Amino acid sequence: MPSATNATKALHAIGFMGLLVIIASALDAGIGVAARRDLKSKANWVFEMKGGTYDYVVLGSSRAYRVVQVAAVDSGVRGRGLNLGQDGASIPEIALMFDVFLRRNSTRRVLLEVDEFGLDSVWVSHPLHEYLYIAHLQDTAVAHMLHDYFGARELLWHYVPLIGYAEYNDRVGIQSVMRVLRRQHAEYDSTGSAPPHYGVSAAAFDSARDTTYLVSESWVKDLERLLATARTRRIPVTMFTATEYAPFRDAVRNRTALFDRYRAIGREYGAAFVEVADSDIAADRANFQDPRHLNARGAAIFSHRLGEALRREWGPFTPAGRSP
Amino acid sequence: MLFNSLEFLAFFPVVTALYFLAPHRVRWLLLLAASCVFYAAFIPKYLFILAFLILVDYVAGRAIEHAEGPRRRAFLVLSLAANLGLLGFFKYINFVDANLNGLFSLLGLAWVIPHLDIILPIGLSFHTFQSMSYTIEVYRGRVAAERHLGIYALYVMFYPQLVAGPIERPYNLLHQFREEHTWDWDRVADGLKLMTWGFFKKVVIADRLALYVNQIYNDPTGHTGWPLIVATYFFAFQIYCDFSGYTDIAIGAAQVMGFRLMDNFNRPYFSKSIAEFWRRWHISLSSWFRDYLYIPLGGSRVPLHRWQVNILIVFILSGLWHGANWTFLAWGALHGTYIVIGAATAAWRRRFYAAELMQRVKWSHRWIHAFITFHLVLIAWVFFRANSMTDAQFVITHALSGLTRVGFRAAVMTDYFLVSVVMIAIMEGVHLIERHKQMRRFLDDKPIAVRWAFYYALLLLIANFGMFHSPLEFIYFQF
Repeated sequence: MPSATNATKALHAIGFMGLLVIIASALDAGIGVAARRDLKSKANWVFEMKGGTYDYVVLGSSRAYRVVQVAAVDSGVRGRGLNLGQDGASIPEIALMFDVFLRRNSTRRVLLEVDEFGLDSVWVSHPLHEYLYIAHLQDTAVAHMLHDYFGARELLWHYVPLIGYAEYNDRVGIQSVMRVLRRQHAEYDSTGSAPPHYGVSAAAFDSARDTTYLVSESWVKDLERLLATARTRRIPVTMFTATEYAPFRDAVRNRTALFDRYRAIGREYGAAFVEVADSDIAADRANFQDPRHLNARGAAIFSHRLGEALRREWGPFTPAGRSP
Repeated sequence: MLFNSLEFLAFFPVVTALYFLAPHRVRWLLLLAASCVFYAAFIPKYLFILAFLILVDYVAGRAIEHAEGPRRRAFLVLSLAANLGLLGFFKYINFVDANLNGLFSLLGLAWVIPHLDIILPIGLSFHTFQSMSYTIEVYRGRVAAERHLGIYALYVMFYPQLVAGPIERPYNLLHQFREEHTWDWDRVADGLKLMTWGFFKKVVIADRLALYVNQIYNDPTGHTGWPLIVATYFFAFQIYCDFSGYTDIAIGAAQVMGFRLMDNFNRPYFSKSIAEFWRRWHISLSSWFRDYLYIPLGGSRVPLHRWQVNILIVFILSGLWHGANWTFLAWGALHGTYIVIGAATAAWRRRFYAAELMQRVKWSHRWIHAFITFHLVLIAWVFFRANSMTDAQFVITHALSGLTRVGFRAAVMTDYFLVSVVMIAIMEGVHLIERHKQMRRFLDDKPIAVRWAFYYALLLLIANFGMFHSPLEFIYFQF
């Protein structure tokens, strides 16, 4: 039997830990509120969206987010679109964003940007930006996706107060609170498109090397899941690829095979592939921010041509189906 | 295994719980197994090197005890040669190679010694020095040779201090493995508090400062003025928080299980002279060099010129202990020079401070001394942190050039800088309190609400401002 003094000390220890859990839980909840309101994160913007109906949504990585200027495409297709692209998003994250969007919003079509490296889990090594979703772990789809990719860590983030915000406190948590308090503006406009970000040195344009990208079957499954979701909801999907600087595009040895794979997957799920005539854009370095991202000038030309190509592919949107 | 990793957060409570649940007779085995797991988490094959060292020094210790006359010394020399040979091979062979190759090419000789592709086993300098202190102390007759190989192995491998010290002495640690430690709430709580303070210093201050310091010091020629100055000040606090944070976690973790490790730091930046700095910085290493090198060389009981040479030898070797690079040698030599010059000017300085004008501001002497000492140490840190002598020279010669207002604003007017300075201020606030009493003892006298509030604040600062994503290794692991 412990002595009375030891019993008191044990009670103190339990009391200290209990109060710590309460404080951490309260702080976790408070930070969670701020983290969800932090619209610097595009994911939060998508989670916040309610009741929107669109003629099309654009899905993809920064090559959709910062290259497809929705206003320019809108004038081409004479419809109303929304850009759901995100910096650094890989297929699993794109699929998650689409799921979240469809829960409270609708679209008549999906425009999916695909890249030659998009299915290569070695090249794009991170399945998703997990820290952006710690405030959304109550969402079953988010919890499942994070659990699939992060296993027990997802359980820690979910059930141990503050631990997720602690692990990523250089990006979310107190950082989110500060961004909300300072009312920092998001980069994207009301259509979800953002201007091109920082450029790279001129030398980067001369560094093209022969490359062969892999196809990760688990990411193919995520792509198929996305396409299946769209098919179930009878939303036609159109795939396209944003323009790359020609020497880099030409250096991809298995480019044809990779896009054949996209086309084959697309055919299986009824998705089309639209080509944009962009060889002149691709050849001119002045159109690029970096070898994989068009700059404002290049993005404007590309978006305009994409709109034209889509109008030929889709035909005009009927007013009845147009968003309010 | 890093202390600042999720693995350690699971490892530590599990090992501690098993330690107290296990019968006393098998606890050494449990700790030895845990220490192997801890070390193997870095590079498992280097366990063999440790095993070799342990065997050599265990056998040497027994042989020294049983031998007499010159044979005792021979066994000691064999043991030291094995330890230093191992250290020399892994740590210095490529440094010697590179310099000899340079020398040969300078002389027009085409003798190229190949660079060996070897990685320095983590913490090798620490455990070889700890091993050597054992054989030396057995030779001196201060401790008996350990008969139990497992206990001796644990002396070298005890996981809290295995990779970065404190470098223990056999008379302090060895007997503790035979003592039966019981659960003591106060001792456990005290150990955990010390670990928390160590984590605060490591993950909140050191790893935060590392971001800026690494950015500047990995490309010093890309900067002049304020960034170089801020990075150098930050490095002074980074290395202190990194190493003393590690030490606090190590001492705290050992204390939870009932072991007392020696102190390694005593608010060194409050030192009033370089000599005092070395009595308060990395105490276990400086006392090692004092006990096993400086005093055998004659200590202070030799003619002045000989003492000056001895001091330079000790500090240059201390610098080389940290790494095989001219920058570490320069760092050690600079500290040795400070001590020699300090001794040579002591009388002059005493007269200066005794002057009437200085006596009127007597209260400020301690702060003037601390200020000057800190800045001498700061200059030496430039060599310690720089990747090469050329970089160090650049930092020294360009830190005071291009001090523009724009540069100042860019370096200082950021959230990052503000948070860093506030965290350093919190630590120094605690250090000021610790001039009189250890913070934990200071808090013991306070109401429970104050005590708990302090530790909650500390834990929440760690959670919200600690750098956990891709945790950084402790700087001293490389030594």
